[in-house]
Amino acid sequence: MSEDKGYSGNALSCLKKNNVKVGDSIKITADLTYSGILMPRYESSDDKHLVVKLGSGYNVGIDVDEIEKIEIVSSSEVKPEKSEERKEDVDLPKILLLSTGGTIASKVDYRTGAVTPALSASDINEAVPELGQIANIDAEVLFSEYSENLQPEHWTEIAEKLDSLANSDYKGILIAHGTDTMHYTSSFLSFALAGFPIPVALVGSQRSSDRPSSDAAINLIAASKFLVESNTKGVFLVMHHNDNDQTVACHMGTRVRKNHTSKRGAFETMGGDPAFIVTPTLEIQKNIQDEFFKDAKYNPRMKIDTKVALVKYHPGYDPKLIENLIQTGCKAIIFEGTGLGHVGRTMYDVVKKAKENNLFLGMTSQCIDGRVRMTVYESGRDLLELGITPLENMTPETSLVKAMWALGNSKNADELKSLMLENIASEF
Amino acid sequence: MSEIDFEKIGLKVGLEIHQQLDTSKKLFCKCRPTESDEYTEKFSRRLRTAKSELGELDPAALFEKTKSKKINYYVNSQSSCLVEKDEEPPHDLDHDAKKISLLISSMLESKIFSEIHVMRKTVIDGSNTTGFQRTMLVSQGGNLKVNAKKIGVQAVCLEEDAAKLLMDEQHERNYSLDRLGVPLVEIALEPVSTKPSEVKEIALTLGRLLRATRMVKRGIGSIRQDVNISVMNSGVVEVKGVQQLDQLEKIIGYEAKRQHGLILITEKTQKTIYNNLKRGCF
Repeated sequence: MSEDKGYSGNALSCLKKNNVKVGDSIKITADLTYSGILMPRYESSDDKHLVVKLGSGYNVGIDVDEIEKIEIVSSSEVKPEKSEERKEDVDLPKILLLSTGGTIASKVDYRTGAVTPALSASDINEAVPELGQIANIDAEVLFSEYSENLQPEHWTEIAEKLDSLANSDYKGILIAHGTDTMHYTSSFLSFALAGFPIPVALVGSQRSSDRPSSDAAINLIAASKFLVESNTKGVFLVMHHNDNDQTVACHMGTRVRKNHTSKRGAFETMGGDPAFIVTPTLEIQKNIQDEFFKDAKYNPRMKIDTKVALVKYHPGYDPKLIENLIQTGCKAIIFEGTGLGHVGRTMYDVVKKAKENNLFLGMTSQCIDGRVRMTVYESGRDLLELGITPLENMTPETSLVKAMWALGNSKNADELKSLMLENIASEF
Repeated sequence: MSEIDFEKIGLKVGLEIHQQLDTSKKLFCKCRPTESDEYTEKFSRRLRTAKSELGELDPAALFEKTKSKKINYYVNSQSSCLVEKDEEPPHDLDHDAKKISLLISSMLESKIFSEIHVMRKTVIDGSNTTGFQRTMLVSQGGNLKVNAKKIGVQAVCLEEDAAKLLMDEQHERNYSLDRLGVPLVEIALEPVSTKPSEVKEIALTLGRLLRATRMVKRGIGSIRQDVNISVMNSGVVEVKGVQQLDQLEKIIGYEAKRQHGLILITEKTQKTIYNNLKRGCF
C-alpha cells in the first residue's frame, strides 16, 4: 500500500493540514461531531472523503468540505507482533510449507477493498494449529504474488527451490499458491521434476483466509495429512472436492483444471476422479490404479523456452494473427480447436506456412474434456496432413506448459515432438 | 402483575427494530426473497475464527469455536443461489433496498452519511454462511414523534437478514437459507425514561411510519424488535427477537420488575451483612 494509504487530492491535503495520519484516534467537527479512528482508503475512490471507523465499528465516509476542524485524541500505536513459541513433536514427520502468495495467505486490503497476500507462512501455521498435530511444519516465503501475476520465471524459481530439497528429510512439501494459475504451476513442476522423491502438494483457497468460512484451513490440513501418509510421489493439487467442508481432492498436477470462477470445488480432474481423496476423518483414499512415479528415478529437467502460443480457434479467427506469431519468433503453437480437434479451412494456408517455418503445432480441444481424434473427419485428416500433432486428452493449459518445457529441454524438432508425445508425468 | 411505579424505579428502554424490506430481490443477489418448506439441496460446513480488520479475535467467535459444530444448510434454488452458499462473491447492492433505507432515514430526519461503507459483522453461529453479516450504517441521529414526545433516533442501518435456524443439537445445527440475504433496515432508538405502555406506543408509531412507505414487508417475522431494558443502578439487559407488540409491554414489565427485585435483594442483603458486622456476628 502507498504511504498515503489511498488518500489523494483534497482529502490528503486535509490530513496533512491537520497533521493526522491513518490509525490516529480523532474527533472531527463538521455538521455533527464524529469520533473514531482514521482508516485507509480504497485508492480508486474519490478524493472528497475521509474514512473514519466510529465507536460502533462501522466505517463511514465524511465529506472533506464539511469538516471544520480535526483534533487528534491519540496517535496510533504499533501493536508488536506476538510470535508464538512452537513446540516441536519429535515423533512427527517434517513438512516444508513454501508460500508463493494467493488468497490462502491473505487478508482484506483497504487499498482496493479486495484481498492482499499476507507476508509470513508462519501466519498460516498460527491460523491452523491442527497442522501441529500432523507434522512439524517449517515455513518459508519464496515470494508473495497473486497467481495471475506469475510468470514462467516464477515456475523455474519454485522448481529450483524444490530441486535443492531433493535430498532433504522432509516427508513432503506444501506450496501455498493462488488458485488462478495453480494448474499451470503444477504442470510445470510435474514435468521439470519428474520422479521427485517426495510428494509435493499445491494448496490454495477460494475464500480468503481472513474470513470464518474460508476453505484454507481444511485444504491445508488435508494436504498435510496426504503428504505424510500417502507414501506416493508426484506433484498434486489439493482443494475442496465440492461445496461441503468434507472431502478434499488431491488431483494429479497434469490432469487438473480450474473449472469455476468462485466455488470451493472449482478444481476438477479432467475425465476422471481425483487421484486421491482425503475423507472428513482424514483418511487417504486412493482412486488411481497405478501410481505413475512409483519406481521412477528422479530426472530433473528444469529449462524452459516461453516462445509458445496458445491459440483458441473460433469462427472468424483471422489467419494473419498466426502469421504475426510466426514473425515474432514463436516456436510452437498449441491450438485449442473445436470438437475432436479441428480448425476451419480458412486456417489451412497459414498452418502450412507455420510448418514450413519449423514450428511445432499441437492440437487440443476447447471442449476441454474428452480426447482429440483427428482421423474421424475430413477436417481432422487435412490438418494431420498439414503437420499438426494431436495431443490426445491433454488439457490446453497443460499442453502449453509442456510445450514450453519440451522446447527448453530438446535440441531439435524431432526431439521436441517425441517429448510432447511421451507420457512424462501422467499428463495423458 | 402488581402495580409498580416505573418512573420511580428509573426504567429506561432502548428499542431496536429490524424491518424486512419489500423488494423483488435480496440485498446482494438477484434471488427472490421467498420462504418455503421445500429444499432442493443440502450441504455442510464448519466455520472457524478469523482475525478482524484490526487484527483482533472476536470473543463471541472464540466461544462458538470451542463448541465446533457441523452446520447443515438447506437450500431452495428458488430463493438462494451461489451467493447465499458463499460460493460466489456478492453482487452489487440492490438499488431498491438502498432507496428505501434512504427514504426511511429522511422520514426520521436522520443525517445520512456522505459515503456509506458496507461492513462485515462477525457471526459464526452458522446463521451466515460467510461467517459474517454484511451491514452498513446509513444515517445517524434524528427523531420520531410519538404523540407529543420526540424520541431520539441513534442510527439507521441497512443489512442482510440471517438464515433461519431449523434445529440445534449437541454436534450439529441446521439452517434454511431462504431468509439469508433478505434486506433489513435496522432502526435503533435512543433509550428513554418511560413505562411499558409508552414503549408499545413508540413501536406502533414506528411501525406505522415504516408501513406508510408501502415498501416494507408485512406479516409474522417481517418485523422483529430487540429491547434494551435497565432500571436505576442496574446493568442493561437486551431481550432479542420480540415479534408481537402485545408481548412487548409484558416483557418490559416483567424484566423491569426482575431487575428492580434483584436490586432490592442486594440492598437487603447488604443491610443484613452490615448489621451483623456491627453486632460482631462473624
